[in-house]
Amino acid sequence: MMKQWTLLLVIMICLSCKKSIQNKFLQQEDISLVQPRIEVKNTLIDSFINLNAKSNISGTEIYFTTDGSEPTTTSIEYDKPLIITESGTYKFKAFHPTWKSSETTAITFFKKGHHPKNIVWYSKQNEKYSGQGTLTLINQKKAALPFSNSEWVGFDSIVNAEVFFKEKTFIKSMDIGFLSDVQSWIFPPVSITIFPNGSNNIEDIVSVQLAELKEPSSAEMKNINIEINKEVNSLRFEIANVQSIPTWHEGSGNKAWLFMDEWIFN
Amino acid sequence: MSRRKFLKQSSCLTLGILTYPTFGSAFSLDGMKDVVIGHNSHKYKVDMGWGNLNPMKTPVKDCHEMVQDSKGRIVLLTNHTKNNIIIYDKSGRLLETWGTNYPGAHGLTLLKENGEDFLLITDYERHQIIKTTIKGKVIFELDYPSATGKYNNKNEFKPTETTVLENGDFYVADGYGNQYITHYNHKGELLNIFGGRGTEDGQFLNAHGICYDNRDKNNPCLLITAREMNILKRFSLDGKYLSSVKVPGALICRPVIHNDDIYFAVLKSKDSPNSDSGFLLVMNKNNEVVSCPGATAPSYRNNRLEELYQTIRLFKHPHDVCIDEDENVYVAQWNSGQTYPIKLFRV
Repeated sequence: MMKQWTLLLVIMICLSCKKSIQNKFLQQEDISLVQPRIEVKNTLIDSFINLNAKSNISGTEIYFTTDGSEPTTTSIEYDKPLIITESGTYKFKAFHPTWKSSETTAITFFKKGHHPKNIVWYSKQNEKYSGQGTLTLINQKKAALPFSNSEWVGFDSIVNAEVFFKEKTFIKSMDIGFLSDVQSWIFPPVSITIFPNGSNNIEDIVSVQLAELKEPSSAEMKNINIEINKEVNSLRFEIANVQSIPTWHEGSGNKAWLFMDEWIFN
Repeated sequence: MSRRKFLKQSSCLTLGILTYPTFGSAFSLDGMKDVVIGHNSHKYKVDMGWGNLNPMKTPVKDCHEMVQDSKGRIVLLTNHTKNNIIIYDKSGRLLETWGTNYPGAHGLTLLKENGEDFLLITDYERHQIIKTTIKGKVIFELDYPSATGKYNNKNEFKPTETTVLENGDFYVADGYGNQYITHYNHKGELLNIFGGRGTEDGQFLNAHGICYDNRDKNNPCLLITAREMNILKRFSLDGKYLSSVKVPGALICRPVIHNDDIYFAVLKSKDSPNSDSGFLLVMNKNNEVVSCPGATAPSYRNNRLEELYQTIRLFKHPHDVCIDEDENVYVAQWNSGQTYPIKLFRV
């Protein structure tokens, strides 16, 4: 009997040795899933847009929200492609019984706005990131990540341009899309100043200051909605890029890139 | 974790030791959930602890490339000038270090002459290729190929990789410079130049890696990555374009041939919300993708490979792979937060 117990003990020691070898391997609970991959043709809604969300790890469930909150496993489960008809922000997150859940990925849809007749550039975009030419920001196509997507227009200096409408148009508000991707030295704008009808009259000018980024964050498409509430023939824009990257960033003191996406006139 | 381990041990006990080892691996899958990456014939478990050293004593910056020498040792090239070369044994134990003046250390190739190991290092900051002994003694330093007329000055030459033929001839890929491939004899005398920047068949965007492919002994060729284009291009040894292998979505760094397969580190996925979205890729002898550790399973539709992309947040920016005789893979990473290489065990 004693011999048997000794044998058992020896086997158990062997077993625990074997285990310690196995334990050096990375565990699923230590690693996150990648955000769900969102496939859409466009984010500017004419009538409707089909949305596909994918995760390629089996056993993964995707949940989403439409109210801006972070998705949890009690949010709406994504189980078939969505048909998007209303503007708004959709947030998706992947969950799995053993892998760590993914980061949240968000996508915002806009209704198509008034289509300007023309845009006149008083400043120059960077040659390397000139998008689809001078009309890129009013071509009714939103960009997508990453910054090399051809619907982005990149600037390394202040943006100065004027948009003209075919006739006097009431603009309630407008949406300006931009990119925040500090890893690629692309920062949100510092300020946006809008001169309705090109006017320099202080009463007409609409000016918005954006909060400075205080810490690194992952690449994200952002949008700012600015109230205009005026009948206009044209709108002139001055949009300032970061002139001195903050000290927490490796590019501290240098100028930052500014990447602009579609301007939408509501 | 400790609770998990405890549960596993107690379940082993109650179920009886006799079931081990027949079901041992099943337990490890069900209870522990080891990460297993890759597809089909090439699947791996992951050891993140391999090769970790004291960063105060033996630091790394970017871990650019790795090769295995004739003694079976793993040689790592980093652009940290405290120790550009770090030599490990296969268990990840530090054996030796050398090299303090390779600030742009990028490409690392092993060559053998009369049974002795040598290294070819490309340094894109020095704009040079340097041949050294395995101990670090410099044999020659090669500057930019000014005689070709393709370069105005040395700053246009930023070599990223080399590859060596049996006769000692070697080729240099200028992946961060003017995108030419230069061909030299074993003494470093220029024989040929081809490629250049562009999107034509015989040109490159980011000719980042090059590899001599003699898997078919009767038709040896060169494999050259056009990383930005997500294409592997095949060339004859005299610089004629042969064919392309497209790998949509995968920024392939350099081809590494082991037995009949080609292995690649993929720096990142082309369209990913994350910059650090890299993975690995394995092609079989027909240059078909069979496994993508850390990414989507390769699938072909109408003979076209579907876009590949990262699925788990494991690799940061993998930059090179080295495969040992046990079929295990060592992964060197660029811009990963100064981490040491990762070892993958084939399962």
